[in-house]
Amino acid sequence: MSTVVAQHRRNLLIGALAASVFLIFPTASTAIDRSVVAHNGMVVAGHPLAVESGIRALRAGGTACDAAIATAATLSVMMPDMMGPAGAGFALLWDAKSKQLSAIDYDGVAPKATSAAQYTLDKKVRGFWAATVPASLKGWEAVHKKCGKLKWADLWTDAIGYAENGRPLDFDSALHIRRHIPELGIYEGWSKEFLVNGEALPQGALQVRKNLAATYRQFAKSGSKALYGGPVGDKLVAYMQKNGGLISKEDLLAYKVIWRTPIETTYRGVKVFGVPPPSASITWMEMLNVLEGYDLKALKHNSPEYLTTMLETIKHTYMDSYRWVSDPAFVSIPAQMLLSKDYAGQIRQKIQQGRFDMKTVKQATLDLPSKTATSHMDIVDKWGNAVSMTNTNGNFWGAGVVIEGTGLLLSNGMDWFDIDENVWTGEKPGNLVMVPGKRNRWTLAPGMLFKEGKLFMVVGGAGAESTMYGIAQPIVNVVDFGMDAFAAVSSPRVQWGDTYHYTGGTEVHLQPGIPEDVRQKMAASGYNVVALGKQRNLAAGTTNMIVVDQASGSLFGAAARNGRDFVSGY
Amino acid sequence: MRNRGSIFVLALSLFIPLNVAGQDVRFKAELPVLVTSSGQSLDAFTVKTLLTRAGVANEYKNLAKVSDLDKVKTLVVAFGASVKGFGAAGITIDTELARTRDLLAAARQKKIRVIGVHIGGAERRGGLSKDIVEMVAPASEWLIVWEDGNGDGYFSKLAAEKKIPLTLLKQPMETGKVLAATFGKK
Repeated sequence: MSTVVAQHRRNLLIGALAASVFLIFPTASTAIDRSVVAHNGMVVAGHPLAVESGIRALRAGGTACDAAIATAATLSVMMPDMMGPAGAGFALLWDAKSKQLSAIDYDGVAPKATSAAQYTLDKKVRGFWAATVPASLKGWEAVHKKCGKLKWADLWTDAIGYAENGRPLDFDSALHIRRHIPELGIYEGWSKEFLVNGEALPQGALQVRKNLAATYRQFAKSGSKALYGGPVGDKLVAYMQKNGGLISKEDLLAYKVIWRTPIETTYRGVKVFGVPPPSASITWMEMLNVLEGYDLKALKHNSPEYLTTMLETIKHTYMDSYRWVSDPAFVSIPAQMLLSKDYAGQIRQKIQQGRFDMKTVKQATLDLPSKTATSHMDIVDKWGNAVSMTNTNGNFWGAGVVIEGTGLLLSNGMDWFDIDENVWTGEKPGNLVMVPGKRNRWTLAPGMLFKEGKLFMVVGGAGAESTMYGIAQPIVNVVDFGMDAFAAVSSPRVQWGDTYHYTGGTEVHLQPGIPEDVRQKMAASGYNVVALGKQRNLAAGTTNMIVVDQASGSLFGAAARNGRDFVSGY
Repeated sequence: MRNRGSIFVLALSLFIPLNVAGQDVRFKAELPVLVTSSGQSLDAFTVKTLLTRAGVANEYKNLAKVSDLDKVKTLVVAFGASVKGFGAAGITIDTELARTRDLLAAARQKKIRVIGVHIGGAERRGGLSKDIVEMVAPASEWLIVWEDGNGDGYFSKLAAEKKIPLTLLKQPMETGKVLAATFGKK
């Protein structure tokens, strides 16, 4: 064989070997990106059929704000366990033309007749005293007025159709009805609305809600007036009076949404924005400030050192959350201090001194089958406008109260107030105590990130106390580790405590995918690492994300993989 | 010999296994009745509410202790552990099992009739609930169970083995009426 041929064959062999290694072990630049990619518009939200409503609004020439309303309205029919017009929420709105970012607070408020002395734990969790004054409908209307183009009434078409003709029950929706029967079956309104002859409908069945359809027709026609001072509101008040509830006509008429200035920080040169308290955006933003002081890449993603850093950061920032995330009309919240780089440095010093012994709360709380009923949506339209919106009913099925004749479920925002003592800080009363007219703390925490003035990321999530660290970790995954949106939200996370507010605990949950040797090292180092399969609650944040490719402007979207969430674009 | 036979027949007649809600209830329970939880799920609150609505006066203490059994004739234990776990107020699965153990032992000693109610369905079977279920179910003199929690036949098999009357409910909300019937209420 000639030397040239032998050399050529050797080169071919080397090339083939290199290619096979390359295929077996793809580098970061060739990792498979399963994000959904679109260019003209994208919606990531809690249910596929709600996402479809949002996309239809975008295709019809609507803005991101129109799509948000259409998505929210349909979502409230698909996921009444999670959110609805009588619930609460927060949103960030980005106007690409004016380069204005707005934050809207449509949190519920404690009714005027609230008296903390008369509350017990069970009264604030379910039933007529658990409900805060409805807020979401007014919030959605305010968003539409600010930046919608399509007719308000048209945005309710899908929702009305599903309520009137039936929405098909997916597995989760059917399950969440059935599993709540032991607890909510004692509430007549809930049973009549969601059960048929006392039983839950199976997956695939059509759930028809005529009362809700009629109510939504009124909302479509008259807007929030139908509820605040109108016929639907009259039914709410009458039902409250009949059942000893607290919400009055005066409460409804007095309710106002609040436009707030977004809070701001930076993370590795990226501008980060959130909604001020009583939203909990400040908590994950504070986390980022602390984490910025570490070389997370050097620690390596999900190594014991990385996870330890994340856990200790969570503990410190969550203590601030429990102390300060309250209504600024009632509490002087040191937001600037909490978001300062100096303060982040102080926390890092504390972390360096040793593990934070975050006390387990001593207040007994009632069990619920599930403790988080929230849904987040991210939307970007063809003009580059964006909405980051989170809506909630509080716990699954909120107060468990359906207003007679309306199909509307009330939230249980009262459960997110303290009765007297702040169980985390021991302050008595603490900043979270219930007071008439006060807005309650939530873990809702919408966010937007910008690079050099251009929209970079729309992000947010759900999952009670897991929401905030469930948002911070995917952001770090993108910014520090260069992950795409899909990988960022899918990558296994660390979870602290049991995610329910007021219980906490000291458990550390490491999601499947974190190597066993890392789990063992974390346990050996003293953390209470719960064995796989033994976790009591798998929630580590139901986080949705859209990343805007800065070069092409294309949208890369990913939906949380642990819920009913879905992403689509066009 | 005849006396022993009569006693045997009488005892047997009081423990006829049940398969369908509400039929042939031979279990006789007396007031006062105490409703408690084993596992700290809200199912106990539901049972208490349904019992009250069915017209049966009852006392409800989700963390009932042995000292709460004074003058009680019937103990209704709604069992099944919470998903959220314990943690708060020093309650752990171990303290809950210990409390349940003490309560059941005291009820046995005081000849208080124990009715075990499991209406949390499949969700209240595994995980933390397993130990609770395996403690309370066999110690019950009558089991009332939502069929959703009997998908693997656990309660049916246990009832047959231990000869415990078992009422399987199609719907958990039937609990009140079923219990009320045994107190002589319709």
